Amino acid sequence: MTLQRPDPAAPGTPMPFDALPSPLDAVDDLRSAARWMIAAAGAVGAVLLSGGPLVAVGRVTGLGHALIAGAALVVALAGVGLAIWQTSLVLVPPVTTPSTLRQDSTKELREIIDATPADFFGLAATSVEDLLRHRAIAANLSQAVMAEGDPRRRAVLERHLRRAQANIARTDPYVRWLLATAHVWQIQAALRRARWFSLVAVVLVAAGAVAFFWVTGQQGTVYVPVLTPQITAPPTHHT
Amino acid sequence: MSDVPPPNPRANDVWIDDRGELRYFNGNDWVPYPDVPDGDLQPGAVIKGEED
Repeated sequence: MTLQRPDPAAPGTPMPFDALPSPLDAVDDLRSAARWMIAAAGAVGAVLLSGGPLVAVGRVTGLGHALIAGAALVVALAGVGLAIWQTSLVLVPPVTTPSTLRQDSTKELREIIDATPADFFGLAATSVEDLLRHRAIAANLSQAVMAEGDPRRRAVLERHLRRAQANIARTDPYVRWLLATAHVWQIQAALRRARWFSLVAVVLVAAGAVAFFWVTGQQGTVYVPVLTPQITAPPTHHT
Repeated sequence: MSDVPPPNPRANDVWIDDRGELRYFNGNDWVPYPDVPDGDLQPGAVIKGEED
């Protein structure tokens, strides 16, 4: 009895990875979190520009106080803008290529995988770099084949090129999984960065709001018109 | 094919030694190029939030 192995190159062939959810499934969750953060920052911005602060601005007298109030409002709104700007970067799809896996942004992911490569690649590779090297080697062999004039040497190079191409076919599913994971990793890193910027934004908004309401509350006594009942006719006494 | 590897190699440069074996430069040394064995192991990682 011969065990029939699925052809990885055949379209629609189920791969062992199909038993797991795709890493890309996490993208929607991460972007949903980002949308909530943007909505929250937008709500804060709307409150800052709503009637209350604008009414308070009307009580500011003097150029100095007006400048302080304006600067405080700008600081608070800059905080809101910073949060929205950084969080919206989570929604921008990053371009993920094998070179992405060699950048600092995915260093931690590489370290996790390289610590226990068998958990991720089985027998296919001993590290991320080991997994990715086959295409580069195949490209170098192709150049050597084209440059070689001696038929015997050329045949040897072509034999090794076929080996490299077979290795590419075997490792491609792992490379695709790794690229998908790196793609999610980048979005997750962007969300983590956006959370830190949101924390900075909270500080800016708080500082701006405190300064704004402090300066608008320092405008002296506020005179509120009070209606006082006036007696316009003398009381009549009935005897 | 030669018994002397190319000078100043970069990572993944290739060299056919005098026995006809393919070697590649792994950044430190010229090492034999292996054949990747077949294997159906799955990656041991799941990246997903709460199940819908």
